[in-house]
Order: sequence, then C-alpha cells, then structure tokens
Amino acid sequence: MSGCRSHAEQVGPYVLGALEPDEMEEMRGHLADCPRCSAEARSLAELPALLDLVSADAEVAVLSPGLEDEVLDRFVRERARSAPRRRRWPRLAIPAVAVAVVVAAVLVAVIPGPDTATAHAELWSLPAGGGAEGTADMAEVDAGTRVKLQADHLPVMRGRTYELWCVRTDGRWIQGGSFRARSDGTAAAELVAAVKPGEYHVVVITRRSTGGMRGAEVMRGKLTY
Amino acid sequence: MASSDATLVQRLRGDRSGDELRELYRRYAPELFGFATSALGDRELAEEVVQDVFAQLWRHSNDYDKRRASVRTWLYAIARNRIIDAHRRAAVRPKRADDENALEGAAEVDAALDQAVLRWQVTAALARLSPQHREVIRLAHYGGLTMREIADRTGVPIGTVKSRTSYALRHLRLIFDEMEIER
Repeated sequence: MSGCRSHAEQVGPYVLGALEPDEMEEMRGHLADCPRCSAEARSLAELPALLDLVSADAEVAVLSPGLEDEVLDRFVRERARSAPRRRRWPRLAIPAVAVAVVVAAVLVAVIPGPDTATAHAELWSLPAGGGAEGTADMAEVDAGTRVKLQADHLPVMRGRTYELWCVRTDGRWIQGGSFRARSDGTAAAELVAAVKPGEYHVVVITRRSTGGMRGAEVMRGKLTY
Repeated sequence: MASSDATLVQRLRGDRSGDELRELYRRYAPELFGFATSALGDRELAEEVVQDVFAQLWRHSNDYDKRRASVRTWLYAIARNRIIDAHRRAAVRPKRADDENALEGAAEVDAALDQAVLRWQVTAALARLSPQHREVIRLAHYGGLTMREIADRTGVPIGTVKSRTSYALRHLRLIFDEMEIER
C-alpha cells in the first residue's frame, strides 16, 4: 500500500513529524479524506516508537570469527568422547584372562597399542602455506579417524585458524575439524574426522572456510598405511 | 536445496563431522549473539551464551519436537535461560549503587528480554537499509530535522528528501514484517 498520487511522498515525513507546521496541518486534513494515504500512515505509525528503542548510532554486534571454530571443536571433542566404545574382546574365563594379560605384557613391548597410528602423512607446503610443514598420524576410533597433527612455520599473519580435510577416494572432502596455530606458527591438535582410515589417501590443511567457501590450501600430504 | 532447520537438528543426532551444526550455527549464531549482546551489554558474556546455546543444541537435539516449536523459537528459549543465568551470576556479585541493569523479578526479566530481542531486531533492520535511507531516518527521526532542513543541510532537492524518507519507512516496514516485529 502507498499513498495517493498527490500526497504519497508526504506520508513518511508526516509519520516522523518532519514536515513544516503548515504542511503537517494540510496533511492532517488530507488524511481525513484519503483512504489510501490514511492506510499508508496507519501501516507506518508504529515505526517511530520502534526506532526509539535504539540510538542513532546503534550498530549490529558482529561475532568473533573464531567462535565458530571453538563451537565446532567443542562439538567434535564431545562427540568423540561420548561415542560408544566397541567391545574388542569377548568375556573370558578368569584363567584365560590371566594368560592373556601375560601375553599382552610381552606384546606391548613390540606391538603398537590401540592409539598408535594406522597411517602417517608428511605434509608439504602449498603456495598459500609459505614454508609450512607438518605430520599427520591417523588412528581408527569409533567416530571415524583420530588425527594427531603437528605443524611448524604456519603463516599466522592472515588468521591463525586452519581446517583439516580428509579427501576420500570418491573425491569428497570430509571436514576433520579446525585448529589454531600458536603465534610462532606451530600447532599441535588432535581432531576427529567422520571417515574411516582406508577410505581416503590424501590429507589437506586449509585456511578457515568463510561464507561457505573452503579456505586456500596450505599443506597437503599423501597417507601411507 | 538447503535443508530445513528441523532436518538439520534431526541429522545432528548422528552427525560426527559437525557439518549440520556448522550450518545451524551460520544460520542462527549472528542473531542470537545480537540478542545476547543487547540483553547483557557485554560481548564476552554474549559469546559465552552463544557457545552454550549450541552446546545445548547438540546435547539435547533428541528432545527437539518440531510440532511444539520452530528451531528458532527453541534456540531463543535456550538463549533466554542462559541470559537469565548470566544475570543471576552477576546478581550474586555485590551490586554497585549505579547498576541500573540489575534485574529483580521474573516478570521484569521477561520484559527486559523481550525488549532486548526487539532492540536487536530494530538495529538489524536499520542495518539492512541502504545508507541513503538510513541517513534520512537518522536526520529526521533522531536528529529532529524537518525535510526542508535536511534538504538545506545535504543539498538534496526537497522532493527527493521527502520521497526518500517515505521509501525508507516503507522498506523498514517490510523488513519488520519479514522479521515479524511488532509492538
């Protein structure tokens, strides 16, 4: 709805009380006779009271860009902790357990434990990474893959938040969470990606995604299982 | 096609990658932060509230029933509770004589939170106007200038100032309708 042809542009200023006194008077008379302008004035009438709720210089508060990563990191960590543990061993009779303990004690010295990586990648710097380098060690967990990441010489001038991606063999990129570099460009993080070892062979570190667009690639490495 | 809010919350139950949570965060965190900032007047506390809201969201996604409320309404309800908690924590501290923001009863808290939502929405609506439309509203409403005075001050013809003011208010009205704002 807008006002009539002759007075349409006066309705807004009238509602704000921003016409000269004689124009305000003339407009009051017009509104009594013009259904279009009076309907328009009614639809705008509550705006001045709403505008009074804020000051002229009120600005929209903008979230810290890093908060999204903090929220997501917390989520992935909690999900990884709360994932049900798989029972690896059937219930055994006590003597059998005793034997197993002895055998295990011997094997621990020579065989990797459950947290040991099932795959390893040396990460090499890409153009956006400056001289960054690092390693990624993967271990299978119930939620997917736990990745232990170590990195040095990460560029920290344009933001310190990075994301880990596992690139599946079908070409799909799976987000493995985000991490922050220290001010000296080093980083150590433990992240969980929802993809099983063996389903991917490439790990990529990017800058933080913004506006739904993946950030520039910083490092990349090929996994050795 | 983008997934609905309710679908994202449903998928959140089995989500281990964080993709669903990220999408919900991007849809709602800015306005929840605006609301919390408006209610608490403190950026840091407001960011804590936003973090807590999303932690509650994933921990209690099983409790969400789309027949009872929209995801947005549900998130605002969680945020309100977190803001009230923050006020209570602040109330435990010794009050300063000039602490005008201290809230007393539940009714007062509810009214204050409604006002905080409204303040944030009005601020956000003004931010969506073009700079020219914001300027005429600033000069006419907040500055108390008449159309003629604005024309003299800005050098813009008075007819243009008048029509710009009318368009600005109409646009603002549409934004408020879209945001379902009314007093």
